[in-house]
Amino acid sequence: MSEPLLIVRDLVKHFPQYEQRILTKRQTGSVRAVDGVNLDVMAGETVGLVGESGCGKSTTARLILRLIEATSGSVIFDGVDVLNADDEALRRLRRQMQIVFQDPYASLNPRLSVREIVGEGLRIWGETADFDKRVGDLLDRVGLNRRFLDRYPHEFSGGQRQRLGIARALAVRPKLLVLDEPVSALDVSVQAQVLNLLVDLRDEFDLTMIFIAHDLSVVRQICDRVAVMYLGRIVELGDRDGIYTRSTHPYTQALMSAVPVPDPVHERERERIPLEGDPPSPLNPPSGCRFHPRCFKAETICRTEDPPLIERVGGHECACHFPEVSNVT
Amino acid sequence: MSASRSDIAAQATAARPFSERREKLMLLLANRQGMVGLVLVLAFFASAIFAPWLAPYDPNALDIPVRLSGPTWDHWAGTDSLGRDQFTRLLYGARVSLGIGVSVAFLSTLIGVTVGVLAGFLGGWVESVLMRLTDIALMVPPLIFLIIGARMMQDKLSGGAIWPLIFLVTVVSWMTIARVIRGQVLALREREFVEAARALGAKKRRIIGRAILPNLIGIITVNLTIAVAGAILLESTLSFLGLGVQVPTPTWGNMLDSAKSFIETEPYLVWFPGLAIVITVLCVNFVGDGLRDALDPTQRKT
Repeated sequence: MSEPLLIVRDLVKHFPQYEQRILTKRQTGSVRAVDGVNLDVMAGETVGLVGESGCGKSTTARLILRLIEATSGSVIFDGVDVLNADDEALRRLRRQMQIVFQDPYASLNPRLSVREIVGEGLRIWGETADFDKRVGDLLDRVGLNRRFLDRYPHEFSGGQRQRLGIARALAVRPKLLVLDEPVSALDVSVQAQVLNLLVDLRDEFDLTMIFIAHDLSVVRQICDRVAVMYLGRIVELGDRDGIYTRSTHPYTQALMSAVPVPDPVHERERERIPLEGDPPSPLNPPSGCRFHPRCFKAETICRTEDPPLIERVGGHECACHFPEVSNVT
Repeated sequence: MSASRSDIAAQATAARPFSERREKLMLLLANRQGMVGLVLVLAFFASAIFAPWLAPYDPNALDIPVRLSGPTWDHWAGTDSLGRDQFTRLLYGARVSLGIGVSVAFLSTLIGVTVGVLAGFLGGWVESVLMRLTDIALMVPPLIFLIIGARMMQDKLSGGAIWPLIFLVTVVSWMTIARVIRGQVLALREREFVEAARALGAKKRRIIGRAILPNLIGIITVNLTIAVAGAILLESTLSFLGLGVQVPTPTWGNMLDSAKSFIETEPYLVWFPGLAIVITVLCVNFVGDGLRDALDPTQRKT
């Protein structure tokens, strides 16, 4: 097997919390937003990153692109150490790793025209020959009219804006595209259109993708492998069918059982695994397995020992002391 | 008013037959309040520049027999205690007042925006140094600083130079905008479109120029007009205290100063320079509001 395009090892991001005294600042603790993430992404594959709000999905994405600085760990992209690259090397790396943001309203500069937003990457990299034509072609590719060049972001709908964000990212021909909940701000009908567009573009541009979502059915449509995150860690990682039909981590099973099924009979009869309470605070994560306070299987060992993410039954990696295959759907 | 404005804006954008600059101009023209302000401000500037040709008299020519004449056909705005034509002196006074107002506004905004953007965007020790400097400058009571400063530069001021006034008023005028801009930059810096620019490999200079500054235009224009008004008022205050530009050079401020002894018997001597200041300040503010709207792409409706 070839080298992975992206190798993430023990990635950690702690946001320190301070208490402001009159003259001094005292660190009172830290939010462990990302707390030891390991992930390999092969060239050409699409990996889904799912989990509840606040579990560190978006932070992980920003760490990989080094839009924020990691506390520790390493990110190797195409053989280059991203976290230790100097400014120039990092700039060159950024051409190859692009991101599409969740909020299509906040991610486009309201003062720039479509020409300048989508063409920004071309301008930055000095590829200004045939500028209008190239930007127009990009608009074509994402399904927008090329006559929109002189329009401004506020003249577009959410779905159209998200297409602009995608076009902007594709302008520099990246190898890796990180999609940070690209459809969760959109209507369901528009979601499907944008997802279809992403699938087409993936083939056409040979993209490797990291797809972040909290909607499991969206991930199922588009991903080859799925990583389930809980409180700053990946708790289960496997190929799509494995995760969806033979999940072994109780958290994954609980998530799966919460996905509605379109068959009312099946929906009524199937077993649900309720998740009680909210996720614990990442300021003070639980001892042992981080999921144990909400887990229906928790035993003594779960309170004391943190289960590693290793290959277990079911053929995929799982961080649980008592993995069992369960088909909850 | 709002109907006519959106109509014109709609025509301008419907088929997009006009260039963007033309569109902005049309939006400005469609804003009636801004237009009135613009016309009056331009008229004031023109009369200041062309004062020697427009003025019916020599600003310093004494004509004691007609002193304190009140408004007449010969002297539209009356004459002062030495018989000098008040209208002529108002035209010449506009040169100093507007000159100082505009120069101070541009200089203080330039300094304030530079300090605010650098502090907000770069953060760290740059921010600490610049913002402490701003705090210190804010702690100095402006009027006391101006009075002492004007005293120290007295010899230059009595030579008729106005640059010491521009310098002094700028020194006390740049801090507010610096703070406001820093706050805005702190918020803008975290916006996703700034992150997107960084992710594309944009350098700091480019991010400031394309993502930060264009989003500050509204605040900068508004501040610019407020600063013009503020500087004119400060100059008038100083001249009124006898510390600004020295007589016989007329300014609106020192005209008010010399009129104050006659306020009960000859109130028109206060009225005209006072009105000149009020109308100018008001019109400059109108122009600022109009400009802010015209420069905002979200105001151009489809």
